[in-house]
Amino acid sequence: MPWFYFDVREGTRFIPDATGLELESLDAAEREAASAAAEIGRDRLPKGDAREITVELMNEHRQRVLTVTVTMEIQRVDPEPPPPGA
Amino acid sequence: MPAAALIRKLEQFDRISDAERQLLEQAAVRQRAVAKGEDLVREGDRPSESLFLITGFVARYNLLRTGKRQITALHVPGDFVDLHSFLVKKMDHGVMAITACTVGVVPHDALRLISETQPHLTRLLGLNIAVDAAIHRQWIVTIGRQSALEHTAHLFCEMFLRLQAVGLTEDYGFKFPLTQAELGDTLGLSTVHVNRILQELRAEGLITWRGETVVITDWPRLQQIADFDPTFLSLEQEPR
Repeated sequence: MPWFYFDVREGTRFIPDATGLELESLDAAEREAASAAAEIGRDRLPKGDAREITVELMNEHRQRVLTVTVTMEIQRVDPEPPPPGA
Repeated sequence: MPAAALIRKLEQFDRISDAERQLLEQAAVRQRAVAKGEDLVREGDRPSESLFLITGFVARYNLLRTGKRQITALHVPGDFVDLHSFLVKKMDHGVMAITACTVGVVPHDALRLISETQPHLTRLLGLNIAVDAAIHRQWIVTIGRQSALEHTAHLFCEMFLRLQAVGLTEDYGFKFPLTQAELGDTLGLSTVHVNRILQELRAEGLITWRGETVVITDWPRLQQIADFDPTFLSLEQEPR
């Protein structure tokens, strides 16, 4: 089974994967990367210390084969003032 | 002496008399070796005996149709892995050996006899099940409401105190023989996320995990991050 490495970027923070993971296929690695990005996003994004989480998937030769990015965008809007007499 | 690990565990809760000690020794009729990865109990089984752990590490788990697995409890030496099988009869989960294990076997007939003749021992066995439930409650809280880092820190705090109570820690170090995938199945996290959390715990100077050994490098701060309160473990010896 092939080895994959999953580096994580959270805003300006970079967390390299030193150990790697053996998975049955690229599809399985993509699912793992997508789950990890969603989980890390759930943890980090609401805190506001990062607005974007990227998981970079590398093959056994440390060549990038795909990236998964999760972003959060919060927009505050000023509501129209209520009409007089409402 | 198969019963020694069990007696030590029950002694965490309260004093055990010599007569009770003798009864537990008679109740633990034999011991059995279990290979790593083997199921001690399968979902759907109707066991006629309950098992307690003498050496090794086991996990209670449920499998989903998709093949995903959730580990719902970890057990360390002295723990009953399925005392509740005496009462629930049909198992709603499996129990697997994380490492090679030795287990002590207590027939349900022996538990029935204790429940009919030994009120104090019966209370302690009831407390054993109650503490298992308290740990499950704590896991629901951590899995539902804590960040992955806090949740992982909480699990390491819990495992440290439980292993310390049975004399299996050395200073702040202990054997933790799970793979990262098994830890992921315990925490409900992907392996990649677990790896990232472990790196963060290490970078923050909280724990190191090399091979099968975890060392807590900042116990006060680890507890603080985990919001850890050991009450749920009932580790105080008092009359019960």
